[in-house]
Amino acid sequence: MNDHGAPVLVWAWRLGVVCRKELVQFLRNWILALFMLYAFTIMAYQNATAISRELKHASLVVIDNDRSHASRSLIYRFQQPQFRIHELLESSRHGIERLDDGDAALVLDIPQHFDRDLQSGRPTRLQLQLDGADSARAYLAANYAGSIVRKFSADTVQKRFDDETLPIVQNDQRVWYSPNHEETLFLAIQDLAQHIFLFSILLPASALAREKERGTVEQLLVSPLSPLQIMLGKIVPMVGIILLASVVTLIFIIEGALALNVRGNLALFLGVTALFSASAAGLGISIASLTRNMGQVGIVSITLMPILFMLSGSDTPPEMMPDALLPIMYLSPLHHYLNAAFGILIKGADITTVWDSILYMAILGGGVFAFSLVRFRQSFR
Amino acid sequence: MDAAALVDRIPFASRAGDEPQNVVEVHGVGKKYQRTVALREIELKIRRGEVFGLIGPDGSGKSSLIRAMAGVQQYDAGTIDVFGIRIDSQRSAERVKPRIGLMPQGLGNNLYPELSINENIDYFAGLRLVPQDILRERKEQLLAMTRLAEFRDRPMKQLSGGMKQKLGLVCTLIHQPELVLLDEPTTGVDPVSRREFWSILNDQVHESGMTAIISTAYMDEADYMDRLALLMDGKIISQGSEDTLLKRAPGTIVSYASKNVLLETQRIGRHHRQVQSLGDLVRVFVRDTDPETARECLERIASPDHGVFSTSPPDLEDVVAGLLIDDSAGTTPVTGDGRVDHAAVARPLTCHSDGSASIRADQLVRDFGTFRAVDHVCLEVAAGTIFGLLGSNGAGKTTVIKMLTGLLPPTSGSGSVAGAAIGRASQSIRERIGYMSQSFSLYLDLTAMENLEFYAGVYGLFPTQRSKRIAELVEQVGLQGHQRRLTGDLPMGIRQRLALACALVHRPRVIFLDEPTSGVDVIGRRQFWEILVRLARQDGVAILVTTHYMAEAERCDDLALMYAGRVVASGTPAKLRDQLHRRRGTPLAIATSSPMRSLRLAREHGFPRAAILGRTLRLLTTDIQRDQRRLAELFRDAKIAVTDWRHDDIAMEDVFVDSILTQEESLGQAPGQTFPAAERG
Repeated sequence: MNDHGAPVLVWAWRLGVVCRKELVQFLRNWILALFMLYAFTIMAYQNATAISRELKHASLVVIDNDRSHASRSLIYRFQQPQFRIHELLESSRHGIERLDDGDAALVLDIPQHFDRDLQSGRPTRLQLQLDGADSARAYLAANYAGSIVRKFSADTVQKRFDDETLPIVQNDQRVWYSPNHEETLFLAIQDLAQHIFLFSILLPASALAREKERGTVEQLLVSPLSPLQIMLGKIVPMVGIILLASVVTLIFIIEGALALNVRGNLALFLGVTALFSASAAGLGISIASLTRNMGQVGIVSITLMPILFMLSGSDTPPEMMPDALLPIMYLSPLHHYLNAAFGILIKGADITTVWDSILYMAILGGGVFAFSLVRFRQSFR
Repeated sequence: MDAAALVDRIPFASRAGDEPQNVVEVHGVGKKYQRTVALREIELKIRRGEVFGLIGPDGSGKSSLIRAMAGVQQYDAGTIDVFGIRIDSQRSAERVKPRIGLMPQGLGNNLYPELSINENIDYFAGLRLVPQDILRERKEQLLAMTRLAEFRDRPMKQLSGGMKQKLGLVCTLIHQPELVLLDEPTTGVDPVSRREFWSILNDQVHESGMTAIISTAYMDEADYMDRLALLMDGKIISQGSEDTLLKRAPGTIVSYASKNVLLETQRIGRHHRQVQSLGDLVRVFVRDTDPETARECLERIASPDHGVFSTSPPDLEDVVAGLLIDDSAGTTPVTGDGRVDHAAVARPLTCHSDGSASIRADQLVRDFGTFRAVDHVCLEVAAGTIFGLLGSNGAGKTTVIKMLTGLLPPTSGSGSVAGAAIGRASQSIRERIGYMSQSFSLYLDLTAMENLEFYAGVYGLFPTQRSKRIAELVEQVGLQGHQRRLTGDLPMGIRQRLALACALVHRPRVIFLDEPTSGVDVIGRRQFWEILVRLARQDGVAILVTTHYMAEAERCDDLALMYAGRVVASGTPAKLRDQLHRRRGTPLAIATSSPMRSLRLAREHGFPRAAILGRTLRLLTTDIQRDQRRLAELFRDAKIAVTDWRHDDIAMEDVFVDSILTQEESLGQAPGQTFPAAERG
C-alpha cells in the first residue's frame, strides 16, 4: 500500500493518524481533560494567591506598661498587612502564655518609663518575644519588627536634634523585576512549571500503560509503525495539549484573573516549554515501559514527583541546597526550565540570555528520550 | 477434639431430610453494573445431590450468578435462598458460608503461589476449623484421588494448570461442604486434566451426597451435568437435563463432502438456517428427526457432485444455535453470512498451488528463564488454508504466534512469514501480515468506525482508498449499523468481527488470530468461522488460529495439538482421526449404574486409558466384539448394570488425550503433571 508518495510523506501521515487517535481518546476521557482544565485554571489561580512566603497578618500581642505618647506611636507603626494587633495586655506575665497558646506570633513588651527615658535622652530597651516554632515566620517578623524599631529610634533622635543634620546612613534600595516584592508572579510561574512537568509525565505514561493493559500496543508493534512513531504518537499530541493549557494559564489566569504583567517573548517561552514538556514526556514513556499497568504508573509517578520537584530548586534556591545534591540538581530538567521561564517571563530575557538553560534541557531531554526509546523497544522483547 | 465431637461441628453429617429439597432457589434475580445488565430475571431451583451446570460464553453472567449464590456479591432484584435461608444480608450470608465451598474463576486464583500443596490445604482447613485427625484422613484421601500426593511439598506456582485446578478443588472440598460452587474450573485446562477433574467431582458428589454448581464455557461438558442452564446476556435461555434440551430443537445433522464448500453452503443456506462448512464438509441442521427423510430432503437441493451423506443427531451446540436463531429478535442478526461473489469463487483456488508455505516454523524454541515455553515447534501453513493451533492455557500457543509475528525473538530455531525470515520482520513484511491478539485488542473509547479508520491510517491508507476499503470490510464481516457506536458498548460477537476487520484492513496475505473465539456465543462463533473460510478459500489468505475449544478443530484444514510447549500431534483432522483409529480403534461408550467403579475395573483389566465422560465410560478398542464381551463379563461379576453400549466416532478430544498420554508415557511421567506452568502467554 506504499504506492502513494514519498516514504517521508507516508511516515508523517502515519504519525498524524496515531496523534489524531490519541487526541480523540484524550477528549473522550473527559474526566482527565476536566481535571487538567482545573489544574491549569482554578488551581493555578489558587496556588499563586494562597501560598505566600511574605509576612502577613502576624498576630502581635502588646504589653504596654508605659501607656504614653511614645509607646502608642511605636505601637501604631506595627501595621497591616504585616502585623495585626491581637490583644493589649496588662501584665507581662501573660505574654508567654499567649505564645504557648499559639494566639500570638510575637509579643512586644514596652517597659514603664519608656517615654520618660526617651524624653530625657537616656537609652531605653524593648523586649520582643517570638514564636520560633515556625522559624521562617519568626525570622521575617523579627526583621520587620527590628526595622520598625530602628526607624522609630532614628526618628526620635532626629526629632530631639530637630534641624541639625546627623550622621545617619540612608539605605536606598532598588529591587528590579518585582519592585514591590510581589511574589505572586514568581509563584504562578513556578506552579505552572510544576503542572507542565506533572502532566507531561502522566499523560503519555497513562496513555501507553492503557495500551499495554488492553494489548493494543502489540497490535501497533505488529503494524508497520516503528517504535519511534509509536512513542512520538504518544508524546506529540500530549505536548500540544500541554502547550495549549499553558497559554490558557498565561492569558486567562496570570494576565487575566491575577492581572500580572508578563514580560518576554511568548513564542520563545512556548518553544522552551515544548522542549521541556517533550523531555518530561520521554520520562513518562520510560516509566510506562518499566511498569505493567496504570496502577504502577501512578505509584511510580507519585513517589518520583516530590523528589523531582525538590531537586528542581523550585522550593529552595540551588545555592541553599546541600553540596551533595547540587550536581544532581543540574540533571533535573525542571531546574533548567524554571531558570529559563523566570528569565523570559519575569525578566523579559531573550534567547541570548537563556540559551544555556535551553542547551542543558536539550541535552537532558535527548538523553531521556534515547533511554525511553531503548526501554520501549526492549520491554517488548 | 475427637472425631465423634466433630460430627456435630460438620453440619453435613447430621443433616438429612429436615431441609427443603432444593438446596438453592433463585427467584427473579437481577444485577446491574452501572450501564451493563449482568443478570435479568434468573429463575433456578437446584436439587440436593445434583451436578448443576451453568453454560454460557464469557460475560453472559455466570460468575455474577455464582457469586450471588455464594453470598459474596449483592444483587439488585429478586431473592436467593440457600439451604432455606434467604441470602439478603451480610449476616445471613455468613450463616450459609460454613456449609458451602467456592472456587473462583482463574487458574489457582484462590491459592497461594508460594505455599506448597500441603500448606495450601492446611491453610484452608485451618480457616474452616477442620480438626487435625479429620484433616489428616481427608487430605490423604483427596490427595490420592487427585494424584497430587507425590507433589505435596511442591510450591503451588510450580504446578501445571490442571494440577492447580485439582488442588483448588481439594482446598474447596477439605471441610466437606454440602454445596460447592465452581466458577469455570476447567477453562483453559488440558483435556486430560479436564476429564480427570470431572471424574473427581462426580465421584465426590455421588459418594457424599454433595451438591455442585459449576459454570463452564464448554458446551461439550454438558455430558457431565445432571441438569444445566444456558446463559446468554444475563438471561437463562433454556434449562433442564441435556436430553430435554436436545428435544427443544429436534432435527438431524446431515453432512457430506462438496467440491466447492462455499457455494454449497450458500445454496443450502437458502433452505436451512443452520449450515456450516467444516473443511471440505458441509454440515446442515435439518428440522426433521428421521434421518432418512432428512437425507432425502437434502438430496433434492444439494449440488449433483455431492459426496456421501452421513447423518447424526444434533449436539447441544446445534440446539443452542437453533434456539438463538428462533429468538433472533434479541440477538445479532445473521449478517455477512449470505452473499458470496460467484465470479470469485469460480476462480481456481490458489491453495496448495505453489508448494511454498506462507507461514513456516522450524524447530522454534523459546525459554523464559529456566522455563521452556515453546519446545522445538515445527509447522507449515499454506496459502488459502486455515491452520489450527490447539492447546490449553500455558501450552505455548501465544508464544509461538508472538515469535512468528516478530513480537518475541526465538531462543533458537527459525521461521518465515510471507516469504521473509522472522526476527528481522521488516516493515514491508509487517504490511503483509494481519494480527488479532488475545481479547480483541481494540480501543474501547473509540467508535467502531474510528478503530477502523485508525488501523487503515496506520497501514498507510489515504482517505480516498480508506473509505472504500472500510465500506468493503463492514460488508464483509457484517458490521452494518454498528459503525458509530463506541466499541466498549458493542457485544463481544461484534467486537470480535470488528477486531478481525481491523486486522484485514490492508489485505494481508497472512493472518494470525490468537484465541479469536473466546467469549463469543455459538452464533457469533459460527459466523466468524464462515468469514475465515471465505477469506481462505476466496482470497487465498493463510490463516493461523489458536483455540482451546476442541470443537473448533474440525473447522481447520490442518491442526497442531500443543501440550507443554510441544506439538504432540499434527495433520488434517481426518488424518489425525484416521491415525488414532488405526492405532487404538474406535471409541466405545458404556453407560453403567456405577461409572466410577466401572472405570476402576476397566483400568485394572487391560484398559488403562479408559475415562469417564459424563455418565459414561469411554475407551478405545480395536476389537469391539471381543472387548464388549470381556467388559460385559467384568461388569456382570461386579454386579454393575450396563444400560447402554454405544459405538462412537472419534472426536478430536480423543486424539488430543491420546497424544498427551503417549507423550507422557514416553517421558515416564504421570499424565497431566509434567511441566511447571508459567503464566506467560
